[in-house]
Amino acid sequence: MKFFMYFLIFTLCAFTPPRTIEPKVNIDFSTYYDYEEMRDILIDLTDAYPELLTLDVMGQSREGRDIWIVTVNNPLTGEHSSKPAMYIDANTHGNEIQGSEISIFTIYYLATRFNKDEWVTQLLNDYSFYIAPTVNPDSRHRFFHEPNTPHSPRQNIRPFDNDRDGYFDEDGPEDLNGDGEITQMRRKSIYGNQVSSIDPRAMEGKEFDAYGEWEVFWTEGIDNDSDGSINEDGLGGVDLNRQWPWDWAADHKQYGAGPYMLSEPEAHITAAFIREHPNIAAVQSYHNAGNMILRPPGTKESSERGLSSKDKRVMDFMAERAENFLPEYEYLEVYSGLYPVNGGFFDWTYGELGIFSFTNELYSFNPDYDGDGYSSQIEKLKWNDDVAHGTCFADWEPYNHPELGEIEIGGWKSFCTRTPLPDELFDMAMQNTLFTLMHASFMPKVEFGEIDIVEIDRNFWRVDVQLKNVSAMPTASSQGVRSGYAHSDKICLEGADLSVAGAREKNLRPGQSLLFIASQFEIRDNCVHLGHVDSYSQKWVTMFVEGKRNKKVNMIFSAQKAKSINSNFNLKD
Amino acid sequence: MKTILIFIFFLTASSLDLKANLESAPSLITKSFTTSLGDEGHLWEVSGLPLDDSKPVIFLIGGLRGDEPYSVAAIEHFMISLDQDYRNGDAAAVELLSRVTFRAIPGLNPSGLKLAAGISEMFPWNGVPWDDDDDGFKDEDPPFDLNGDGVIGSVRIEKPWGEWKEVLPKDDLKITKMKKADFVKGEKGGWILRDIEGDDSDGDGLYGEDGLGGISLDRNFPYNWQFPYSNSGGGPFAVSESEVKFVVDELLASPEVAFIVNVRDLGAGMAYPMSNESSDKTPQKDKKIFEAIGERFKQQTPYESFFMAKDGPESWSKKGNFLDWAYAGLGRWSVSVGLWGLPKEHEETGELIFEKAWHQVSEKEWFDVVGYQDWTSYKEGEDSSGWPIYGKSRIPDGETRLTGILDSWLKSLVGELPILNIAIEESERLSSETVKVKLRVWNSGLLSTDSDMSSRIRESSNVWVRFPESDSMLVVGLPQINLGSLEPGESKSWEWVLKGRKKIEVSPTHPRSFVNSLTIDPKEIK
Repeated sequence: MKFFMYFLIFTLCAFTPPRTIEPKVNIDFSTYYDYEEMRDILIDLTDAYPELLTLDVMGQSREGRDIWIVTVNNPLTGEHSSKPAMYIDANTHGNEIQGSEISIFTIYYLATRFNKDEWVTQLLNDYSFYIAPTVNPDSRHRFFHEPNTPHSPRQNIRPFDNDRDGYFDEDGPEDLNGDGEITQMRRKSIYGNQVSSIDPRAMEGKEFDAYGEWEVFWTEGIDNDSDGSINEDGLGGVDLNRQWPWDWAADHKQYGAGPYMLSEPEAHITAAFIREHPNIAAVQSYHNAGNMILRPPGTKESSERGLSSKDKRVMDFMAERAENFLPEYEYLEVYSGLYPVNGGFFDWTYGELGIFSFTNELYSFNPDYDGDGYSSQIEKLKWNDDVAHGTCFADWEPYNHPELGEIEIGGWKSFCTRTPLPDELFDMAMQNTLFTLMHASFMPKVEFGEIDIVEIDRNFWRVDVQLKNVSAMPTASSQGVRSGYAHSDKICLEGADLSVAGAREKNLRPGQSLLFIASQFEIRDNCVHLGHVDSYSQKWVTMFVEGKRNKKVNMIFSAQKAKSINSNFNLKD
Repeated sequence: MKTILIFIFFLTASSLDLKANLESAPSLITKSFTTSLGDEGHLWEVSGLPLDDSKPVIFLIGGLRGDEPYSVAAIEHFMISLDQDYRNGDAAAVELLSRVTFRAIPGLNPSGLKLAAGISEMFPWNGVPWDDDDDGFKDEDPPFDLNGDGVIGSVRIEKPWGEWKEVLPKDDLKITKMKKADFVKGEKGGWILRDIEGDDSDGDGLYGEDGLGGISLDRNFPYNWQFPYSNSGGGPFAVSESEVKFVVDELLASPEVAFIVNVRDLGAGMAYPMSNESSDKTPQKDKKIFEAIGERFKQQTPYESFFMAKDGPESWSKKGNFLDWAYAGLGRWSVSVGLWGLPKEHEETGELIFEKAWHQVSEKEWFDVVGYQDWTSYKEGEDSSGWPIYGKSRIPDGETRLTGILDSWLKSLVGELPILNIAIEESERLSSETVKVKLRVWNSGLLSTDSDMSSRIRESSNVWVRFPESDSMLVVGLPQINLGSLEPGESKSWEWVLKGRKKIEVSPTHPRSFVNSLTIDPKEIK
């Protein structure tokens, strides 16, 4: 019920929540869906809500699977590309699956509440959404249909010669005991670990002055290539979150980087899509695990350069509100709070494109029954027995291994430890969707305020226009300006025999004269390039206009990441 | 781009008859690629019997810039003449191609080549429209020849507050230079100087800052790549251009490529990586090998210069360049070779003699070759021209002597590749059915099997010796011996104990080396 309370706090601020939703599609959000099932759900959803949802294909994965993108927009208030947009993606790592279900829930939430929930309706009137539920469909498919550990397959399916022997993916793990999982192996060895005296399934570190009992092998398998190593060259691949053109580093410096930035089709087509949509003002990516809300940067170089204080203030402002939705999540910078990442996705979306970007690391498997702040193997096994009804841990079973001899096979199963139990999925989807939509609701929103018109000479006018950004995000981040990606906002005047002769910012700081020229804006084709409008602020623009009295003027404000607005007036005092 | 997009190039690509080359050699084309602008480029290959995919490959690439038609012609000439020699049964060509395959992309930038043939500017780009000045418009303010003298030069404007003054000719060059006035010494200025001749087509107060194209393919490779705001022409991301993607993917999929030669129009000599200060340092072991390659290059060609690429022409030193990637990203032995500096002609034979690299040329020598466009007025108080700053790069139209200038050196490269030999160092009969052999593998080539850089970046391929898989004769010893990398002259050994009397054939394997095999006959072992 906790999530529902947060939901109420959030929505009741300004609007009354809808009494009923009455969805046109019934989707079970307490189960996981494989690639084909996801496709069917997306088709059902877009068929049910054609006025709001459009299903497109961004491109194909390395193995030829479609990578879908769902556009959510109310076209009656403008084309999706004319509004600030949020891009959401998930499942970058093949084994990190639950972000896909959450993304689908976000689509469902927006579609089913439009025109029933005033807050959602306003959101879709002002903004649009591009949602890619899985950007690594090949590995998702394998996670569902092949034996795996909870950690595989993380990368995409590009063959890779991990052991530099001239062969690719020739020595991966195998499901030796045929239980459908890749678990662990252990063999008797005095150099290994000890068995817990509390629970014999748990392995503990060896005491210094004692012999060990079992040597543990990380994954189940044999030495397929007879080189003396087991499972040293498994499936793939390239880490799709180390591929991006910001602080990218080659594979010998950043494992999984791939041969070059955006070498993989999954990353390349996503980058192309985002570049083709300069209206994207917010990015949200879903990974697992750890209960974290992460922000850029991921590298030492960028961390030391630091975010601009303005951008950091905006990100902190939004992350502080996460407390309302995700109280157990910790807000961290990737580099200093987690670990260094070169070529990370949101380092690029923020670093080059200047988009305010977050990644949520979903779920944390840390049962702590004794409250000592540490989740032991014993506590995790207790959780397995009591909460998961014994479904998450495969008990150790004997096996005759061709190279290791008599061993035992057992351990944690693939759908556990990084993903919640299916019944926990709905709560996670609701909480994270609310956080993400809060993030979206702070995309730039500019309105015209006062407009003053004074004739300062015959047919020569001074037009003062007040622009108000009523949202937390500026029309361009400082980083977007720094990288050169952000283009100036502009005001264009349309009308017959009209000419903008000059423009400047009307500076109203205390003690400054109205005649003080703070800046001279560039003017082209009767458009004033005015820079940007900051968070929750106003900007007065003074334009000097030649035109006959009573001429009708259509004034249009447009920006890369703010919805265009217009106002009509006549040239008269 | 605005500061570079300049100056003379009187050459037209058609003078080299590249089209005729293409038409005469369709059988050499093995793959085609489409450029970002939709033109077609080609991968060529010359190979011989035996047909063996495992032969090492020497890879040639030219025409990275639009204004490098001579590099294209030089590679095409080499490939066509070698192929013709082979078809004519020339013994040297047959022997050469029995050992190695030559693969080439003579012109990586056919779109740029086409565009550069029609303009007088330097043209490193591939022609993809690009918004150099971030104003939302692409290619809207190109340089312009204001005074109609055929040269994009500089502009000077007479103004009382100008900081520049004229320096009247004092030497036999008879040119009027401009220098900044030293006002403390009482000098007076009077002129404003603008770098680029242009007319500010977009009215933003800058001149010629957003001209035709582009993206420079030689700044689009994924080593040390930089965003365009810090490295003009780098493209939106590394390998964004289809030309670059083609060659990168081709080379990544070709472990048999042992040596890469990047032929350039400018430079007059050989350069080895790296190309700028922010690159990794070239390991000493590799430097020594590059120096040996450079010495042989100087012996085989008229060129005298051998230098690290960062000391070469400025255009070679841009971040994201091909040479640095080929060596420090892909991990292959790679050099650049420049065709043109300021050559002299042999008085009797007319052969070109390259005594100096481009950067060693004096102003006087430069003046003799490229001349000087004196200031001429295009409107009152405003003159244009001056030094054609990149005049040193000019190759006289139709200089066909360059096209075969690298041929003998390229052929000699084959003798420098790693050669892996294997022999029985010691042997001992342990019983009537069991023998012990100590085997040794050594590299007798000039190159190590992989560069030290390649090992550092984990792109090297280990030398392996694998016991025949189906044979159960191996009693003691690993069936797969990993010898790592072998430097020139380096050898490594190991022991096997074999049971049985069957002959077995073993050989080292390495995708970029010549390998010799060995037959072990247990019956012969005493």
